[in-house]
Amino acid sequence: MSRSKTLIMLILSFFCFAGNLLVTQKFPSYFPKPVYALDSASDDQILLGRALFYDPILSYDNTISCASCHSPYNAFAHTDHDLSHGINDEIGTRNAPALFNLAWQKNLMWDGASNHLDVQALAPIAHPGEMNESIGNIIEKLRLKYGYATLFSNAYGDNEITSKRILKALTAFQLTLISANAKYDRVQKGEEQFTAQEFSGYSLFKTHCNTCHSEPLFTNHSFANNGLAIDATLRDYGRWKVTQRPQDSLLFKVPSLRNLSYTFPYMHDGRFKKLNDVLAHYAAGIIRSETLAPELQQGIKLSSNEKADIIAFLLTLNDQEFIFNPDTKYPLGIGQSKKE
Amino acid sequence: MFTVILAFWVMLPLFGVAQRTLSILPVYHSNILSLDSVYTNSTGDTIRIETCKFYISNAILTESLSRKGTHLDDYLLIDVFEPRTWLLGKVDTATFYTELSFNLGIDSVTNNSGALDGALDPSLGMYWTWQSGYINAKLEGISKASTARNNQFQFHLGGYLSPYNALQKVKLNLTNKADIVLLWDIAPFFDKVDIHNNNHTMSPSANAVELSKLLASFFSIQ
Repeated sequence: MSRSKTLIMLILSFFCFAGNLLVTQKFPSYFPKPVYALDSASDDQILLGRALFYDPILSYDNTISCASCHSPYNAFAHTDHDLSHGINDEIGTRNAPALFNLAWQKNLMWDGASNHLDVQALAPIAHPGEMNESIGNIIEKLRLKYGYATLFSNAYGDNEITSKRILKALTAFQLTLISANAKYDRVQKGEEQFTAQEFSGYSLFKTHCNTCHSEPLFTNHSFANNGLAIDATLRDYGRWKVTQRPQDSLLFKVPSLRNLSYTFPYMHDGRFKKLNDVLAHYAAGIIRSETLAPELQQGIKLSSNEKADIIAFLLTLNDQEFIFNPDTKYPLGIGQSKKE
Repeated sequence: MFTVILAFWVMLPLFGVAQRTLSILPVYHSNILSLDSVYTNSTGDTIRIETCKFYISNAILTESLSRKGTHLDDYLLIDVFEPRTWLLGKVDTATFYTELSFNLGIDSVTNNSGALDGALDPSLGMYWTWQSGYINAKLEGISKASTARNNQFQFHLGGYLSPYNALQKVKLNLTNKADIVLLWDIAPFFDKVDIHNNNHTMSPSANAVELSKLLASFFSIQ
């Protein structure tokens, strides 16, 4: 065995070892029951999924990985990009959503077009403006790439590479992205206390926002029309395209409000850069239409003090531990060397 | 030893171990569908079929007396241009079945079950990527009548959500104990569908449901 090969094996075995240390993440008792089983994948399957998530091999010209638009330091969103850019700098039509607490989301994407986390990855992989690749071609490329035979073997008992194994591994990794230790959570657990302003914001939040952005995940996972004007260039009617039911026109998924400091800009097309812009929209910018959410018929009128209080509360939903969790970051040394 | 085996083999039918096949036979009128053939419909349009695949699922043979059902393989992907995919299953010759039922397409529970393998592997080209769901049936080709680019027609039929659930249930009566040949004659499709105006469907819709019903109506027992 050559020296470099030995080194790679050493690095690999380190990560396999590290993989075993990835204890199945627990979630707080006040979280609801997850939609996806959190303990069904092995550490090695999670590790394989993590390698795939960060590997641009999933795109046609090997330039775009999942992490290109779902950046780990931005709660797996694409900070500063209203619309994300994929292969050949093609611009997409929607804001890349943050990835966390996916175990509680049955339907994925802003319009719920994906009905299961396993199959969600097929959409960006095949999209001509995102990764422009086929799963069949990915399988061929992975077969030739050093390191993956071992990763697949460890994960599944043999080194056969199939679409099901790839997709299940991506799911396994993404299910470990649990954000549950923001200040809000520590307050819930009695470890910390809100400031007076945060507490005031929390009360206002419960009055005005909690119906859709329901605690503790800060979304009720429904689809709603929150009164945004139609973007004249994108002409995006949201969930209507999926269900083709008129009552779903202009409905988009209610996003979680956790980690807002990392996930700007906001809304399905990233039209608002600041939380103040969002609150201003709810106060005075709502466009009335047939499918407008009943909760927003009158808008949400707030004084500037109240807005400041709500924002103070929303900032308690930032989860630094999640953002800096090394177990979800780029897996150094895995699948990065060409076959010798 | 040899004679024992031979005797056993000869007597197999008596033990009811012998098997008969259940297979599909895709035709255009009386001709087996072929990639190289150009077909002519009732109005004189010419048709070439380039892709024709569909899912048969949950096939059940029902016994005459007990009404007991025998399940065949759950999910089969039929490619009419790949005769090895025509065999749906084997059943014993002793039992008299009176009914064959199956689904043309994939049911909603399976459509919601995440990544699957075998005939349901999403890399087989029978899964939509931009929106979750299996393509129950894929029919592509060229017809002079089509106004689309290069006279193409492209039907990707699927959808599992109401009101555009494209899954079709098919039930056929069986009358004897011979091999079961499920004839599928696609010729009426090109007589009934106005390819001039209706030449592509790529997502769940009312048209996809209508066309699926049509495809499901072409099955008969030979």
